[in-house]
Amino acid sequence: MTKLVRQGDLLFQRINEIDLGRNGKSSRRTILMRGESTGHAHRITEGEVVVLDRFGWRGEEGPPLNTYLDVQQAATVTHEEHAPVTLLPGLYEMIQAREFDYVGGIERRVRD
Amino acid sequence: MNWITALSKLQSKKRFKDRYQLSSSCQLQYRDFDAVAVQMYSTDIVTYYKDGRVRLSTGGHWTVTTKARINDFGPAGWHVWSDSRTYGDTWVLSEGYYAYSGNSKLYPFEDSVMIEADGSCDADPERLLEIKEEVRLARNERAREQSAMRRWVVWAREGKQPRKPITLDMIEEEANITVKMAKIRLYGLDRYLIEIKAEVIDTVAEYSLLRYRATDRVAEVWARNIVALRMVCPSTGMVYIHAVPPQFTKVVLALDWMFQTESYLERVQQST
Repeated sequence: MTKLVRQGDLLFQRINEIDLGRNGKSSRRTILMRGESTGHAHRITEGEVVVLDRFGWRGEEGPPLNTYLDVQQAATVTHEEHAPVTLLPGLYEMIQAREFDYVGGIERRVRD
Repeated sequence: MNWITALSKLQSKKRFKDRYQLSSSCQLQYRDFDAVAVQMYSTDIVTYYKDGRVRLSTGGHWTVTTKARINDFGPAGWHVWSDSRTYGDTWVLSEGYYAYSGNSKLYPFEDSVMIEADGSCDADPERLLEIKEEVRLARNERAREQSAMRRWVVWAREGKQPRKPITLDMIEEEANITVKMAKIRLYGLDRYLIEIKAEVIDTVAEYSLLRYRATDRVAEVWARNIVALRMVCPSTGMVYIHAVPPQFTKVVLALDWMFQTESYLERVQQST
């Protein structure tokens, strides 16, 4: 059973392979996700990680549909409000938590 | 139609026994010694008297078909119509077909209304003006409520705070459920659920599921459940509350939905 690692509203799920489709982009950025309201960010402070984003039909103009991590060397992810977590080498899918909006009646991403 | 026309039809060769078929649902019949009625199914919708009086009735069936048959077989020169925008549910009896000509006398159509031989009506025309004013005020009130509702929903969606800060009492006093939800959003769902001490319906480890039944005092029923997942961060001790869809009653299912995965609690290794 694949293991999960959670830091706040971000969940890292171990996967076996990555499919970026037609619109994919890789980078070595250290900020994985920035909070909209607080400005706090989930940051990679140690290790070697390649961040792979899969975009939709809009390409890089829109937000990525999925984000994957290729952890090549054990990495530490830190955040101002949560304790750091360690990711062992491997492939991970980064999932952001969602919540329900009772005014609009739809789901939306959690606003950190 | 009038008394003489009705009587002549009843005495004509086209009658069947003592009745004359006017349409598939209406027939003319004798009533008492000096009255002839147009009977629609089992209701006398129009009754002509020998002295020239006419009684109009619906028998409780306030339908468009009844209205149409009264106009078809009713007294000449009188018309029954309705205008829900101006008069609401009330039907209007007018002397003259063109109700808006200005010369027509208008009366509220009440069941068993009597039109006298001299052309007067026993209904009170002043009552119609009162009804018109009541409908106008109710429409204005509804428009004001809808405008306020739209305003609150837009503020909630855009995250704009109103000039007066929202208080718990303002939320509790709100009668409309849509505006109440918008105010809760602006106040902060987590803060609101903590302050009103929402019911805890399930607890697993540091997670608990909270539920609040929001009532709609306009409809006088409880209208919506608000369900939220309360999480305590193991490392910092901070409490986070996030709304989940109202159908969830178990923490396990709510967590799986929130993180779009399966068996979250069994598989999670680290959680901060």
